Amino acid sequence: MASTSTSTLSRKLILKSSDGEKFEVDENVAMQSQTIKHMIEDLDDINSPIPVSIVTGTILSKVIEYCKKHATEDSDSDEQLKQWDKEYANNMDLNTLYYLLLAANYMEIKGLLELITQCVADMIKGKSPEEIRAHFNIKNDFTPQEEANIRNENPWAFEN
Amino acid sequence: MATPPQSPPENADKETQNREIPMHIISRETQNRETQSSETQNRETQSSETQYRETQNRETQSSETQNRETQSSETQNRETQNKEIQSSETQNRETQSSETQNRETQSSETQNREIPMDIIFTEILPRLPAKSLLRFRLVCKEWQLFISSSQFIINHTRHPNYLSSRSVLSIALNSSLTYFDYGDSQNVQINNFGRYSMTNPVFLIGSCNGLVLLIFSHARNGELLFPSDLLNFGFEYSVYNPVLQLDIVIPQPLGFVLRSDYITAKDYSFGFGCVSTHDRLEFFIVAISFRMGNVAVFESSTGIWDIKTLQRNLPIVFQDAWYVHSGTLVNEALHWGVIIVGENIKCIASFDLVSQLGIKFMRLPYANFGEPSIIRSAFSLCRINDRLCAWAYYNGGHVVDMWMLKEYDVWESWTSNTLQNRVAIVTGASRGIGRAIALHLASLGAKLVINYTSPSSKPLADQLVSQINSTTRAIAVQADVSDETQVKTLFNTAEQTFNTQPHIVVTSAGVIDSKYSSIFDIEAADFDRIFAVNTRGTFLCIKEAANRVTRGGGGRIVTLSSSLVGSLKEKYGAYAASKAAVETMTKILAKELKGSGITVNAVAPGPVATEMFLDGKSEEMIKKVVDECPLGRLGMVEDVAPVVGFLASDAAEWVNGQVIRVNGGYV
Repeated sequence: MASTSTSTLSRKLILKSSDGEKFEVDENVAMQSQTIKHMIEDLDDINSPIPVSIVTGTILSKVIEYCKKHATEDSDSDEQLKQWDKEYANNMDLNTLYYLLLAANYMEIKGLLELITQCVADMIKGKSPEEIRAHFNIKNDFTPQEEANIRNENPWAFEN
Repeated sequence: MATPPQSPPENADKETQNREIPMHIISRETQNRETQSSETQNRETQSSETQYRETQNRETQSSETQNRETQSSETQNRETQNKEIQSSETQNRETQSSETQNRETQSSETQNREIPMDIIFTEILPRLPAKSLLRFRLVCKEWQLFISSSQFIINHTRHPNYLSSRSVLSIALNSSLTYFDYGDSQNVQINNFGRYSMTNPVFLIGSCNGLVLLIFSHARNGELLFPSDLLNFGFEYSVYNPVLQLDIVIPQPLGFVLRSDYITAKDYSFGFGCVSTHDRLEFFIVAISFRMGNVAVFESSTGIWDIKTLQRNLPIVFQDAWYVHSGTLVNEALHWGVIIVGENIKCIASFDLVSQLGIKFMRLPYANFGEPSIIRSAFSLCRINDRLCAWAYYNGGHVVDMWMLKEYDVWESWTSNTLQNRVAIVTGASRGIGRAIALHLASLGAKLVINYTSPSSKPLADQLVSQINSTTRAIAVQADVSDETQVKTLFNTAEQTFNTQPHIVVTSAGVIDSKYSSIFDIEAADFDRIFAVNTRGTFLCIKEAANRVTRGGGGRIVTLSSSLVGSLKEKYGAYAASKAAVETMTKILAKELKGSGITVNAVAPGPVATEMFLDGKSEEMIKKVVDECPLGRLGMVEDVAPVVGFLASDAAEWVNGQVIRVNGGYV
């Protein structure tokens, strides 16, 4: 952000979500997405909408909210920003969180990806293997004997 | 023990038997493991940056398909990887990177609301604590293999680890290890790692990255009564993985001279730390003795002790014996609280694990940190959120003062410095409440001008100055507050010394009628003396302060009144009247300073156990006072000082022209 010259700072880009919603954003906001950065490097005409194919309008607006906050560098201290991040993540329901995770991954926004993955990690860290299977739709392919062996290796990990 | 980072499914059963689990170095073989696994990787011609993706595409990927140039297409591919694709024979990346096809796959995946497995593997699992990971090996075989792979184990060490940053380890008398994990939640989890050593005494040195450094004595059961006797016997170090209950035993450093008498037991210390380089984690054990002037460093990669000479007979002693506190690891350096003998300076000594270039010294939040009467163990260091903290007891353990270093190596930035760089003048500060106020304001970061009236108080004032700091942060100035010229000189000295206008003026100089005369029999001379110091003295100081204190915010004038103005007790007529005048002036001056940003308030203590209060009072009188107080005791100077500290802070900006009574509730 700091490296963009003043002339490019004011440039606007149009992002188009998978459901056709359009968002006009400052270039330095959009450039936090490595994917978009690469896309506009190859693009001659930046006035045409840039498709953000897998991200819906609802999610994209949340992504932009994050990018805007993190594009303005001087206004907040690190601690304030962290606090903001925390509140931002806490206000998401599970579905939104998953979609955001996909969006952050697809758009390659490192900070947002880290924020959301940490949030998911915190949510699942206390869960049992059974809950994890249900949560991520994973089939148990262990025999009861194998399962018992794993449990016996570190029984303390299965205590609450 | 070494496991190929990429585990073909046909090896799955063998893998299970290997029981790899995600903790860091583990056994005697561990040091070889990294080499082994990198060899394995070479054999399979995989570039290191692609390793975690292997897990999803275990079967047929060659390194050519995974070089960096394909990363942007790969990002999109990641979306499409679900388990079916992963288990399919070959992923044809070229085909998939065509945009249209990707989009279709992705949008259908989005509808499934599944997190792609590789995000879980590369982004989420490394953020989990080891305990969760051990449990999640039971989710399915794929998870088990992934979590057990060496590559994941190494990857996991790079993430902030619960055991390294947010936990407390303890070791009980029966040598059982316990850790308390704070995590992010409000609940503190307490986990017992189980009984560890049955026969020999075990001491805990420290922990980092999930490993614990212990010391085992060679003493026979029952021979070693006190930790300080450790060196009477041989000993060895043990780098212990409490999860696996495995350890590496490391002998004590040869040639690092350790003597075994009680005194020298306090002249050496140990430390345990790690440094992460670009491709691995290096563990260090440090044994250090200032008396011997040498430091022995054990490096996990070389597996040998390296003994360096610091400087013979450094005039430094540790604050704590090693079994109370070992080195504190922050910023890849170990830190010890020390005293420079002779000069009696308390400070922090640090040893950088990376450069290993001798001992550096860092300043404490203020000099004479910790109870001055305690020579050893006046303060201790600890680490919170990867920051160095220093803490100390005061007031016989009733007050704990704790500071956190905001920026490493910048001593001014210890936190709780709400009055940082502000200059405070405290009159009558050599003893009693004034002294406590001065100490408290200093602890909040203010620079202090310690005023005292009578030349006989000079030693007390000088002692206070040295307690607060060297001359840069506190000075003592003698001035009779009832003399206009001397008050002006006091303010001039303050401005000249600190090169700024004062920000805070506290008028705590005061006298009492120790004869406790009634108004009808008080000597006029005594009356005059009380009014000269209490009323005129306060008047001259706040008049000067009103003209000299900085304007435009942060300017504070605090006068000291007395709760007697409210309780109106017999035999305190002159004293209470002198303080009533102070309150009146305080309230009016607050209005007169409109627009200056300076607030003027009075603090009115009740009975406080000071020399002045106790002077001339019988035990019976004191008992009566205690009985009257709802809290059933005399006030302490430390009860009053924080109120002044608050009024002096920015937080108190909206409190102006008020009298705050601080008296335990008797009036």
